[in-house]
Amino acid sequence: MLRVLIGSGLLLMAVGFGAAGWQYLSNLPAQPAGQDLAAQAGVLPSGQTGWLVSPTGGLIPAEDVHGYLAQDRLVPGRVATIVQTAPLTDLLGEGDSLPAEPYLQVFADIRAARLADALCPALLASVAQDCAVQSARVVPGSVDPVRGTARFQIDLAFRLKPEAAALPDLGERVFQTETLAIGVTAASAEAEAEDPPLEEAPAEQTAADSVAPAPQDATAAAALTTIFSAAQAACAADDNRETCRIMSLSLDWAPGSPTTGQARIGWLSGLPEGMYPAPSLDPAAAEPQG
Amino acid sequence: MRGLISLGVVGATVLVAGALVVMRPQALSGVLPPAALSALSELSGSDLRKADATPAELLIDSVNGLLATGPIAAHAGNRPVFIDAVVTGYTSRVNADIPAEITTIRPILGCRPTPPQPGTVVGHATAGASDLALALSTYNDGHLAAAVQGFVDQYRSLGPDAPVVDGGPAYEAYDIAITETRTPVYLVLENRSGNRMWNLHLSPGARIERVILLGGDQAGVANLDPVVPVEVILNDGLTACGIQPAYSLNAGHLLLQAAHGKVADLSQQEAEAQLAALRTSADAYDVWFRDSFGVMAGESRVGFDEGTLSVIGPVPEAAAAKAAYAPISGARIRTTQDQFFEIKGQVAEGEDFAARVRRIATQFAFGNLATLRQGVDF
Repeated sequence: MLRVLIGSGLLLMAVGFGAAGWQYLSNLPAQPAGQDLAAQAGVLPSGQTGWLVSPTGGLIPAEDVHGYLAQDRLVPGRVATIVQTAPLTDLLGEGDSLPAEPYLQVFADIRAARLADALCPALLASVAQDCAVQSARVVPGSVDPVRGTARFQIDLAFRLKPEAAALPDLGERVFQTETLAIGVTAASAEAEAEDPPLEEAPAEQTAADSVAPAPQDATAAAALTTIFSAAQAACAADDNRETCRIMSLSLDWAPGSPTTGQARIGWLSGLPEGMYPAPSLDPAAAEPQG
Repeated sequence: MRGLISLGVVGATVLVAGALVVMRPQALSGVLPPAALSALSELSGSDLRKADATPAELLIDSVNGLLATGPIAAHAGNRPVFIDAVVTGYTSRVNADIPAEITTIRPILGCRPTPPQPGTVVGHATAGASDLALALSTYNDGHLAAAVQGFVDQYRSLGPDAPVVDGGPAYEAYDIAITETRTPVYLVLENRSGNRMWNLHLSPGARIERVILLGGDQAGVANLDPVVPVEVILNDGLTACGIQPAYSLNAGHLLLQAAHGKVADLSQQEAEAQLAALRTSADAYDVWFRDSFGVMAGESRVGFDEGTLSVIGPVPEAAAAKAAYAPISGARIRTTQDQFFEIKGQVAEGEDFAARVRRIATQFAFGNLATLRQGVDF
């Protein structure tokens, strides 16, 4: 009897302390961002750390570092987000017909990936080495049964084609970004630049947004190419932008409407006046004696 | 040494048990999984309850309404009485009950049910959540589409391990004990939402003149004499008629608490505005109810926001005058139905709700559910 009592008591305590321990472990703070950047940064010249600094010496967030440097694989931060309006009939297969009205929303959601099929080839034909559909969904409540259309959001992860030139020494460069607005009025672009979202890089690291006129494209794939071309042109416009890369973009497209979107580019440039690379922490070479 | 260990173990056990009794299982809500908490809550709600509890102690005046937490029924004036004081043989185990005969009825056209005859008693019961799901369900394309979306969302994250789809919206039973035997009773049974099956239990000598079913998505009545007429106005019918059932709130309700500045999430002004709108709706509903049935809705209603039984009539003094529980199993029911109607276990293979959901999802996915999976393996 005593053994049963002791056993049940120990079991109770084990369950209690086990649950408390599990809660403690699950509540431990996540690994600090950027701790293993050097290991994850991808193709870097030997001896480079994978850290990037802003023109004022601030540390660039890990997501941006990955989005810029890790071009050997797809990363979560490097995504093209396309929101497009499309006729529901575009989702039909051969001999298919649209379902009854109550099912249109879920039908569009399930078949949204079909729209994404045309977008990756557009990227691969221009700037991307690799492209994959991260998510393709219908925008909730966007199905218009009268017009037979819906809005879709498609997220594509991509990586850029390899560059001929090797990366310069990151320790002697600063990293900057710019958000290029396409088809957005200058006033709204300025308003966005003055009030950036909290999660974005500090203003000191971001150049002033620039605005390009709104083009009109026949397909979402063509509109996507337009945005990428505009981003590439922005990269090429300034010779001081070293190893300029497209980091992410968003596109809003509807048939017959002007293409609107944003592209975020990042590049390296020389250290500003008064900033010097930190000396190496390696022990100094012994001076010759005698 | 052994004595010390034993003392420690016994002490820890007593402390934990004491904490459970005093602080309720919710004290361990951050430690124990929900299933264990639920089991403990059920235990504390039944076995650990005080033996000398009064019906009033089992009725909680909460921010969500009046909640029956034990075997109590709503009685005249919405006062609680013990169920065994009015019904014999009562049970809440109804989930496997299969009726013997099902007759489909349709809602009435128009906004005025047939009024009660002079000299009859109007019994007005309202049902909130009873958690007495039956083996009967009824649904339409909208329910199926919503379930397909839920299934697709699960499949996208879990793949073939996605849980099996539950059945369609079931009828939820709610019991009515009619103990009024002096005059015939004109029953007005009012539901808020979902599919409702009103199960009637009559005391010896009780007579029913007519049954009016108000509200809900679909509604039916069980154990009613086939000669008694039933009239139905469902939620969409009430809305089309501009009728919005509304009542004054219980003292502990969230809105009243907020109006007194006791709730941080809701401002006093917002709460007062909502209360004013509710009072206007309640007054309008009272007028329609009085014009239709001759009594005020707020004064005549019998029913908690959570509970399983309402009593129409006095609490019987003699045991023989109590209502005898009439099971849904083997009963005659009359009910409105949606596009599809199912009795669990009696549906042809591949034609039940879950099978329909899977079939639609598969068809939309070009015959291959694996295409639903999305995402990049970063």
